[in-house]
Amino acid sequence: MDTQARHPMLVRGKHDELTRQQFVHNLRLCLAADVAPGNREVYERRVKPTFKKKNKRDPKNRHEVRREMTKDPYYRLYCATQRASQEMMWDSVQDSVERELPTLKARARGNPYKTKGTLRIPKNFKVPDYHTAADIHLQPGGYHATADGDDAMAAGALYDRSVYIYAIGGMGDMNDDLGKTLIDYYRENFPGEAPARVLDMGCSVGHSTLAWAQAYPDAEVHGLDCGEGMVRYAHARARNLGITAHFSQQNAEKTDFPDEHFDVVCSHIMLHETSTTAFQNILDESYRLLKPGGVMMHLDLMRDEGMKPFDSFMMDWEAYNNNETFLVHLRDMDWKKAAVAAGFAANKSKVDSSMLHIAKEAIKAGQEPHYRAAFPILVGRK
Amino acid sequence: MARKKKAAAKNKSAKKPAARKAKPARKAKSKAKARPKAKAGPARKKGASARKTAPKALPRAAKGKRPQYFEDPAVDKLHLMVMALVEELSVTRDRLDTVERLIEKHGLFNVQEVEDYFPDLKADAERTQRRIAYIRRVMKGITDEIENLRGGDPALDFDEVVDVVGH
Repeated sequence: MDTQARHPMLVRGKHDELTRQQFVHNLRLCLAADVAPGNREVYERRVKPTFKKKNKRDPKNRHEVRREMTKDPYYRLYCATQRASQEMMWDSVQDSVERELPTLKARARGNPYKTKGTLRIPKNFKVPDYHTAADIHLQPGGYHATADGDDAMAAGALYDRSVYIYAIGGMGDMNDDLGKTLIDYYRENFPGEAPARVLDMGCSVGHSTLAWAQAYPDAEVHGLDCGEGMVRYAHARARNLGITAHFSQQNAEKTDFPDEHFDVVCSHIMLHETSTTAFQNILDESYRLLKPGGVMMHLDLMRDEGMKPFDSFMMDWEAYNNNETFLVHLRDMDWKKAAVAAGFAANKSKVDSSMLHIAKEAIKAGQEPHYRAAFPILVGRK
Repeated sequence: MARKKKAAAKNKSAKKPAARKAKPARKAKSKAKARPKAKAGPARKKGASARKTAPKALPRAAKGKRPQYFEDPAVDKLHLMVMALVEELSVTRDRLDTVERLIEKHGLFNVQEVEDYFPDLKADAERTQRRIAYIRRVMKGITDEIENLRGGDPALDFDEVVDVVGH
């Protein structure tokens, strides 16, 4: 079901564009529910026994599983189709964005709810090389695309609609479930605290940023992103939803905020779209920006440690097939060690985990959630 | 009207980055899907009306080498074509569904009549003719070879034709 909230900045599709997008949405649903589980069968019944016969042991890690699985015709066809669905997703939405852009830009100039939200775009911003090396998750032009001119926001419009299709609606009608997940975590683990200032790093179009702004309406909530089109669109989206938040185009590795400025510094599946150096820089910057007693929370994808080789191999899919390359390295890195190196005390930092907000809500309602897995969160208290 | 003018001015100032991003736009042209904006050309024409008919070309191809999933790269391409066809068939079916629902909404006829429809002999003959023509068109790639064989004279390969036309 396509229940994405039709807010004023969301790109409208004509009949065939919309049904094309809904086709991709349903294709991904079938791939996830019917085709992807077959990979496990193929591995257990075909690939692993063949490997064992030859090597007198099971594959010992995800890389060995990958070497064998990429030869298997079932897995190949799964990959090719999954990859095609990602490409078709962007293309189906780009048709609508291309046509609707002048309307969206005109709407972006308005402030119907008179919110106090701000937007800052610096001159001569340098997009980091981990964005420009390859277009992350195959978004044509990347997060940083500016093909639509000086007031670029097409990348954000494309992203907002596409993420809903990508996640098969699994992040809620406002795509804000990762924000809600971290807010739940914060409330459960730091009860009674209400942040006065929150920073959402790598905020893209502000999906999670606005969840924070809604949860703490008295707080000053900031979102930053390397993509100019992302923050321009985020600003317009927030204003048209009547929610106050502040957006700026900045690199999370080195921001222009003063020391000890925030009570919460967080990110929602941003880390795996950076680099080894950037990862450490971002943790260093998180530490610098936090007030004493402030909390850092970076939610990302599951680390390799503690996972069975096949499950861990599947978790790498987006790295090898969807230009989320750094994920392979990040999953092997010692997150806690990096947090300590950034300045967090060893007894005040840890890698914790949480199920998604939407999954917890489903369980509460007596339903089976679509996705049960817990996402790791790197937590540090200054 | 004033707003339109302003938008056109913005559009003009957007020229430079559009040119900078010309590469992905050019790549997009190689795609099978026909794109009206490619025909209309980039939004260089002056005036709001020109902009309206010629939306700015946004990037279509993601930067980064595409993995090869099958032994023969042609199979990768063929797979993409099949996926696009599957998508378009779904879109067409949805459009038909929309038409049927609108027909009912406006009380033109009961769509159940479509389910119960049984063609008379004339309609059946016309349909059969159309269907066979359609299938033949799809099968042409396979059957052309046989037509050549049946031609009597063996088909010449390229070099042999060069010999014939060379003098």
